[in-house]
Amino acid sequence: MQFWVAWPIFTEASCFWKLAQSRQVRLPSRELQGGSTIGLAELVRELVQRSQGGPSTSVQSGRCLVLSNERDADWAAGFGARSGRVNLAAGGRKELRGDPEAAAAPAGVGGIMQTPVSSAVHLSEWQKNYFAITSDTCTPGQKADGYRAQILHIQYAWANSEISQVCATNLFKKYAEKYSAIIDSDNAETGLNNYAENILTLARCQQNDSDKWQSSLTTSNVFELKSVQELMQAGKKFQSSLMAPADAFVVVDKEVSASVTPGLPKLNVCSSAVDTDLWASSSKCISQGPDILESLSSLKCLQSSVPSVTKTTDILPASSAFLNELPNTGFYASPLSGNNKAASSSSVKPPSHFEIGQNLSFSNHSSLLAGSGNPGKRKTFYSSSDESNSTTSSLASSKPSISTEAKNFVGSGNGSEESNGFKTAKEQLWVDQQKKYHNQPQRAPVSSYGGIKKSLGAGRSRGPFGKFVPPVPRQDGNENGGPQYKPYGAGSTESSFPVDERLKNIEPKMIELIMHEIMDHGPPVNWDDIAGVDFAKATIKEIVVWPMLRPDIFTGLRGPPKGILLFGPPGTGKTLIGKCIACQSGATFFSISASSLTSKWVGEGEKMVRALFTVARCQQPAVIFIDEIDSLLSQRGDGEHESSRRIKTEFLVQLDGATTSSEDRILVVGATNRPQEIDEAARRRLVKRLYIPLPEASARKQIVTRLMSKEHCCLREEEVEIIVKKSDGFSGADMTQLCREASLGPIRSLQSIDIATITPEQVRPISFLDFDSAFKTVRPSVSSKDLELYENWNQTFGCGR
Amino acid sequence: MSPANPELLLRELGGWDGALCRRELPCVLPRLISMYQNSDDWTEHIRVLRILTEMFLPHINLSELEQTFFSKVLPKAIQLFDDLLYELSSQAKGLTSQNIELCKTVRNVLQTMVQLLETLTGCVRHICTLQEPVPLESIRTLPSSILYVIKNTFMHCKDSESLYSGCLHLISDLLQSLFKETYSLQKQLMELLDMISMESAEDSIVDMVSVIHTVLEICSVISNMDHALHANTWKFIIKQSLKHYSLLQSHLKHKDILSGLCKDTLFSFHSCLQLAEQMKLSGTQESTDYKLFQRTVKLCKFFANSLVHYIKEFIPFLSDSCCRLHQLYLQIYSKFPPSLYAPVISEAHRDEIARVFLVALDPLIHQLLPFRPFLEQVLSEKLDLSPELHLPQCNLLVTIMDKLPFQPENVQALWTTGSQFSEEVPRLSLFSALFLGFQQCSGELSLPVCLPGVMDNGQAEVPATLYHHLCVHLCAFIASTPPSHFPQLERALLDAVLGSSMITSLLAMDSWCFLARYGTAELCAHHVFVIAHLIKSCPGECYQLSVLGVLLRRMLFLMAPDHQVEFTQKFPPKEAENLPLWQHISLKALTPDLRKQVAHQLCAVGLTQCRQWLSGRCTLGELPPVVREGVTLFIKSRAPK
Repeated sequence: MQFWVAWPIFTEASCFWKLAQSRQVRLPSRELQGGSTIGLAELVRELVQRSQGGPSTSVQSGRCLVLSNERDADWAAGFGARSGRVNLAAGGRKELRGDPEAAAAPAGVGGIMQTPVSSAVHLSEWQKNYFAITSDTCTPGQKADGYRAQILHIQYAWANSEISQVCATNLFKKYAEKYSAIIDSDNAETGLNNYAENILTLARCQQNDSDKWQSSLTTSNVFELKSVQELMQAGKKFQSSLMAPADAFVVVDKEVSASVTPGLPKLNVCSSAVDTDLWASSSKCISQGPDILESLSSLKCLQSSVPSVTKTTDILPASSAFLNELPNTGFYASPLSGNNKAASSSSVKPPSHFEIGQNLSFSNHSSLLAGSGNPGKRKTFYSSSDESNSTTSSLASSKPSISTEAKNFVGSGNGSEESNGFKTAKEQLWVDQQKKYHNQPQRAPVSSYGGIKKSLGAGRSRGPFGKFVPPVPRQDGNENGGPQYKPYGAGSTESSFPVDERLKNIEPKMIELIMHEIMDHGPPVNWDDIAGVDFAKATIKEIVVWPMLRPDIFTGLRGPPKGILLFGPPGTGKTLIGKCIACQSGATFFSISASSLTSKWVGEGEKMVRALFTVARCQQPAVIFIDEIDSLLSQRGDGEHESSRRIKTEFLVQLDGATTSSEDRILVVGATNRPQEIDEAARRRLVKRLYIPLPEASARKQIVTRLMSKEHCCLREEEVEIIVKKSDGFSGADMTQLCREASLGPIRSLQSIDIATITPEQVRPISFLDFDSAFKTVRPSVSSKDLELYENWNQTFGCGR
Repeated sequence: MSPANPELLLRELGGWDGALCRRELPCVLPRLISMYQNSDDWTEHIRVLRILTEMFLPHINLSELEQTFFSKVLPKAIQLFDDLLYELSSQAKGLTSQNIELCKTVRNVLQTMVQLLETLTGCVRHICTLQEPVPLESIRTLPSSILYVIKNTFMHCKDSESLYSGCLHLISDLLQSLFKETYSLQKQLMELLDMISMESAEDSIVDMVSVIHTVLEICSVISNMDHALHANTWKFIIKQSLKHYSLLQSHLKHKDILSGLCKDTLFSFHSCLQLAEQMKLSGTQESTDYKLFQRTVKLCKFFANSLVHYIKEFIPFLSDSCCRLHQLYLQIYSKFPPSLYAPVISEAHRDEIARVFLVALDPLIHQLLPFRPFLEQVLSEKLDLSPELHLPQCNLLVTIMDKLPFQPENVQALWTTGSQFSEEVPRLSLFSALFLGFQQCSGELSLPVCLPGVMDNGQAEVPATLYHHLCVHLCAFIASTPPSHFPQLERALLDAVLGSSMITSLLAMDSWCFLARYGTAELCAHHVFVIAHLIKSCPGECYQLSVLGVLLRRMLFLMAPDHQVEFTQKFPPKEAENLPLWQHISLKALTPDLRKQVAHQLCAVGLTQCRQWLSGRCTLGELPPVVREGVTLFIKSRAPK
C-alpha cells in the first residue's frame, strides 16, 4: 500500500490550509513554512488544543479535522492513550518506582480528547524532539537522538496497538530515512559519519581483517534463516489478505463516475493517484533543473501532445500512455477522465506549468472541480461530508492567485521527503549542497580512492590520511581526489563538542595544530614487529604498558616513570618502539620533533610546549614521543638563543615541576643517538634510560626473513645464516638497505633493453649472489667507535644490562 | 611424693617452677587431667585448665600433644563452654535491672566465659611460639574446638541485642570484653594455622577442609560486625585455600565460598551506596560519614580483589557458580548510576566507587571470558532477567565486546557462535544477545539514559545515549571481527534487522552501514544483492519488508559506482517484476548517468503496466502493481537531476 507514503502529505497540507485560512487559527509563520514537516498528528493536536482553549474556534473543527483521516486520527489517538503506558516504560519508571499502581493504569483509549494531562506530556515530548530535529542549532548527534526518540514513540504506539501496523511501518520508514541521512552523512555539520571517529578510536589497537571478510550469505541459503522465513510468511499473509476483499474485482470506472456521491465503497486508489499527481508536480517545482528540461526535450513529441491532451475531454487510454512518459504528468488522472469529464479537465493539469511558467492559466472552474473531485473521494472513506466541502472551498479560495496554488502544492511536497519540497532560501541552499554532495561520489575519479574501494579499513594502509574514507567525499577539495584528505577530525568536531575545561586558556589555534600535526594515528604496531631488543621491550612493558592498562595496581611507588630515554645508534628501531608503546598501551600518541616546536612559532615555542602537555593531560593516558630529543633538550649554555632556552625550561617544568601531579598518566619518550648531549636536568627526568643496541644475529635474521618473505626470492636457510653472519655490525636500517640493494640485483642482471618488455614473472628470484654483491656496496653506518661511546654512556647513565 | 589430695596438689603446684614441672610431668599430668575431667565446678574447672596450659603444656613434646593433652582436655572445655552458653541463654530471659541476684549470676557466667577464652588463647599462643612447623596431626582437635568456641561466641555477641533486649547495658562491658577476647583468640588461631604444615594424609585434608568451612560460617556470622575482622577472616580463607591448593582444591565447597564472597561483596557495596545516599540527602560533608564511606569502599575493593584472586585459582571448579557471579555483576551495576534503579548519590562518591571498587571488579570479567560455563550463563537463551538487570546485562555484553578482541581466537569463537549442536547448552551468539538485551532496555532508551562516551581528540568525554554507546562499541567490535566469525555477524545483523523491534532494527542497520563502509566494496555489493533478492522474493508488503527497504536504500549509497551498474544489470528496472524492488531505492544514490538511464527505464515499464491495466478490466484486484508504478514514477521524478 505504497500510497500511504504520499497520503499524509496531501492531507497534512490540506488540513493545514483549511484551518489556516478558513478557521482563522493563527499559527506562527514559522509553522506555516516549515510546518508541513510536522507530523500531522502534532499539528492536529496543536489545533485541537487551541480550539479547546480559544473561544474563536470551535471544538468541532478540531474533531472533524481529526476524523478526516483515519490514519492520523489513530496516530493522534495513540498519543493520548499511549502516554500513560509510555510513562511507565520511559520516564515513569523512576518516579513511579514506589507506585506501580499508578503507572500500570494507562489512560483509556479513546478519541483525541482524552486525559489532557498525559497527552500534553506526551505532546510536549514529541514537540521537543521535533524541534530538535528541525532546529538549526542542534548538533547532528542531538538530531539523531531526536529521530530515535520519535521512532521509539512509534514503536511503542504500535506495540500498544494504538496505531496500525501500516501506519507504524510508514512512519518508521519516513523517520528512518531522515535519520539515516544524518548517520550516514560525512558532512561535518549535518552528519555523523557513522560514528566513525569514536569507533576507530576504540578499535585503534585491534587487528583489522576487514579485507578478508567473506560473506556467507547467499541468495539461496538466506532463506534458511528463521527471521527470513518469518518475513516471507508475513508477506504471504499480506498477499492473501489483499486478495480477500470482495471488491477486488470491482471495475474502477464506475467508482470514479460515482465518486461525487458521498458514502461509496472505499476507493483508495484514486486519491492516491491524485496525491501522486500533486506530489509529483510539487516536487518538481523545486527539483526542476536543466536536466529535467533536457529529458523533456528528448521527449519533445510527447510534450507537444500535452496541450492537446488538456483540451481533449475524451482521452483514450492509448493517448494517455504517451503522456506518461513525461515524468510528472497527471497520468493518474487520465484514466479517470475517460469517464468523468469534469475530473479529467481538472486533473490533467500540465505539470510543466511550474517549470515553464506560462502555462499557469487554467480555469478557476477546473481547479474547483479538481478540488471537489479529489477530496471527495477521500471523503468517501470517512463519510464526513462537511469536511470535503471545506476542503473544496479552501482549495477554491486559493485558486485565484496562481502563486498560492503553487504554495499549496509546495507545502504538501514538503512533508514527506527530506530534500524535496518548498524551502526557505537558506534551506534551498542546503538542499543544493546536499544534492551536490550526493552526486559527488560518482563523479569523483575512482582511482583517487585507491581502487574501487569505498571502504574504511579493508586493505588500506591506515596512514595519516587513511583514517576513514567516507562513502562520499566532502564538498570541499574533493575534486582532486582523496590523498589530500585530512582525517576528519578536530576541526569539525570542535564546534560540536564542548572543549575540555583545562583547554580554555590555550589558544584554539595551537590546540588545533597539536591535534592535526602532532597527534599521530598511525597504523597499529605490535611488539612482534620489532626484531630483537628483548630487554628493552620487557622493561617497557613492565614500566609503561602495564601501568597504563592497570592504573589501579600501579600506584604509589609502583607508579610509572614520567620519562624514558631510548638511545642507541641510528636505525635500530627507537622510533618504532615509541610507536609501539602508544599503540599497545592504548594511549594517545603525540609525536613531536624539535622543529614543530621551535621553527614555526618563534617566541611562542614555550606556549606550544605548554599546550602540548595540556592537551596530553586531557587525553590521558598519553605518550609524548620526541624524536632526536638532543636537539630539543641539549645542554643549556651561554651561547644559546633565548627562545630555545625558554622552550627547554618550559619543557623541564612540564615534565616534572610544580604544576604536574603524580596522578597524570603522561609518559615522555625521547629517542636520540646523541645521549651525551642531553641536558643533565632532562636526563634526570627521563628516569629510565634504555640502550637500544644494534640488532643481534637473531634479530638480523628475523629482519631478513621478514623482508624477504614479501619478495620473490630463493634463499636457503644456510644462506640466510651466512648473510646474518656477514652483516655483523649492521643496524636495522642497514639491514633493510642491504635487502633493498639485493632485491635490485635481479633487475640489474637484465639487459637494459629487456626492461621495457619483460613481464614481472620473468624477473628471476633474489638469490644469495645478489646479497653477496650487495655486501660490497652496503656498509654498516655505525662505527665501532660510535658504539663504544654508547656503551660507555650506557655504563654511566643507562639502566640496562 | 606429690600429695594425693587434689586440693593440696593444686595448692602445692602453685609454688612449682618450670624445671620441676618438667620433671614431674609424667606423673602429675595424668592426675591433673583426670581431676579436670571430673570437676563440675566452673571455677575449679577453669583453675585446673589454667594450670594445665600454663605450667604443663609447655613441657609436653609436640608429637605427643594431641595424644596426651588436646584430645583429653579440649572436649571437656567445649562441654564447659556449652554449659556456660546454655546457662546464659536460659538466664537472659529473666534478666531485669531490678533482679540484682540474677544479674550477678549472668555477669559471673560471662566472666567465666572470658576466662575460658583467655585460657584457650594462651593455649594457642603457646603453640605459636614453637618456632617449628607444626604438623596438623599433632594438634588435630585444637582448631575445630577453638573454631567452635569462636563461632558460638560471635553468634552470642551478635544475638545479644535481642537476647538481653532491655538489659544490655547491665552487661555490655562484659560482652565487649568477650568479643575482644574472641577476636584475639581468632587472630591467634589464624596465626597458628598459618604456621602448620600439612601432609597429604586423608585425615588432615578432611580436618583442614572442615576448618576452612567453619571459618566460612564464622564469616557469615561476623559479616556486619566489624570490617577489619571480616576482611581478615576472608583473607584467611583465601590464603589457606591457596596455600594448600593442591591438597584441598577438590575438597572445598567452592560454591559456598564463592557465594559467600559474592554476598558479602554485594552487601558492602549496598552499604556504600546507602552511606553515599545519606550524605547526599543530608547535604553535609561530615568527615566521619565520609571516612566510613571510604572504608566501606575499600572493603568492597578488598572483596572484589579476593573474588578475582579466588576465581583465578579455582576457575575449573566454579562451573556451577557462574550464575552467581553473573548475578553479582548485574546486581552491582543495577544499583550504580546511570541505572535507573540506582540511588541518587553525588558525583564525587560515584567516581570514588568507580575508581576504587569497580576498577577492581573489572578483571573478573577478563578472567571469566574464556570460561565456558560463564559464557553459557551470560548468553543463555532463557535468561529471565528482571527489568532492573537489563541495562547491566547490556553493559556486561559491551564490556565483553571491548575485551574480546584481545582474547585468543578460540575464545572469540566461543562467544560469537551460538550453540550449534543439540547436545550443547543452548545459547545465543554475542551479537544476538546484545540485540536482545538492547531491545529489553526500553525504559533506558526512552529516557534516555546517558553513558560515558568515548574520549576522542582532546574533547571532553561527552555522555552518550545508550543507543549511541552501544552502537559505537558494537561497531568497534565489528571492526575487529576476524574473518572466521564474520558469518555469525551477518546472520545476527540480518536477524536483528528483521526483528520486530524498530529501534533494534535501526541499531542493526546502523551497524551494517558501518560494516559496509569498513569492509570491502565487494562485500558491500554482495550484501546489497542479497538484500535486494530478499525484497524481490518477498510475496507481499509487511513491516519487515519495509525495514529491509530502508536498509537497501541506505546501502545503495555506499556502493561503488561499478557495483551500482552491476546492480542495475542484476535487477533491471525495465522488467516489471523488479519494480517492487526499485520502489525502495532512491535514485539519488546512483551516478548521474546511471540515474538517468534507470529513470527512463522505470518510466517506460510503468507506462506499459498502466496501459495493460487500462486495457484490461481495470479492477481493483489488479491495482497493486499499478500503484507500484505510481510510486516508482514518483521516485523517478523525485530524483534531482
